Amino acid sequence: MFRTQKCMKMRNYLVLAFILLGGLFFMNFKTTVSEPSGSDAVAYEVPADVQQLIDNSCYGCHNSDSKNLKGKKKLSFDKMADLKIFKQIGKLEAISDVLTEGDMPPKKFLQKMPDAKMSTEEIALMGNWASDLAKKMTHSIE
Amino acid sequence: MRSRIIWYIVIGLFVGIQLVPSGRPEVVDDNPNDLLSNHQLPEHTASLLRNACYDCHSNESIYPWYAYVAPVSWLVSRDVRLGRENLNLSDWNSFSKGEKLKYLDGMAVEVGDGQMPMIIYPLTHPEAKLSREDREAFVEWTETFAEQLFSK
Repeated sequence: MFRTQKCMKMRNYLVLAFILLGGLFFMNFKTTVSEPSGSDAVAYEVPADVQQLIDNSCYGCHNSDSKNLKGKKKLSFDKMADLKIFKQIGKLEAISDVLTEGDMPPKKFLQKMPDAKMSTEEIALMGNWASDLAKKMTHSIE
Repeated sequence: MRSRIIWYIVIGLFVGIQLVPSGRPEVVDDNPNDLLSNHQLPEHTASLLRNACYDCHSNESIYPWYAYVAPVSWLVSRDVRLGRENLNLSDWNSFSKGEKLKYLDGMAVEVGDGQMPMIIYPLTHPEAKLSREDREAFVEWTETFAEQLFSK
């Protein structure tokens, strides 16, 4: 009689422990799936090596204080982080295009500022950065 | 006598240059990837695109009579060729999302800033003359449309 009572008590504790453990697992699981997906959007970021190329070859015209009105309207690197992600992706795609096609920096500008000339490797580095980031950003909001 | 010879030369040249092929881009009516035929855009936007952009930025160019007379035809052909090269709205659905965003941003900058349509175009196409409000509304549309690309 005494022994069966002890057994029952032990079984009750075990059941209770299982319920508690199960509850913990369930709560854990719930927190992982309910995480907000909106914050997954990849942010606009510039690595140091690309930033150096921008400063040296692009920023002179493509900044919000630029005297080059067309260059400024199309792209101001200092305002990139403030733009909506759709705009950022569009501009990154355009950066990759003009570099691949050799349209930027403009030939006329390079005649006056030969130091701004980019090597083939530098063009590839910056072009790849822009197109990779554009793809990652697009993917992150799809 | 001398002025007569000059006239003969001028007329002869004018007739002669008509034989030079202008390279006028072809008009294609059936465009399965076209922007306007695949998307129900706001009426104002759709008519702006049709009236102010589509002659150069689509396969559905409507050529005026002077597009068939050299030397003007050479200029028209060049504008249409470059227009389609830079952005052909008849190919819209074949673009990736990234390309669409690039073109929408480009349209917003060019139209918002008054660079497009080219100054010469509304002289013969008055319906392509855009007011400040037209331009602002169009820029706003490019942003709404960009966002819609990602909402399912």
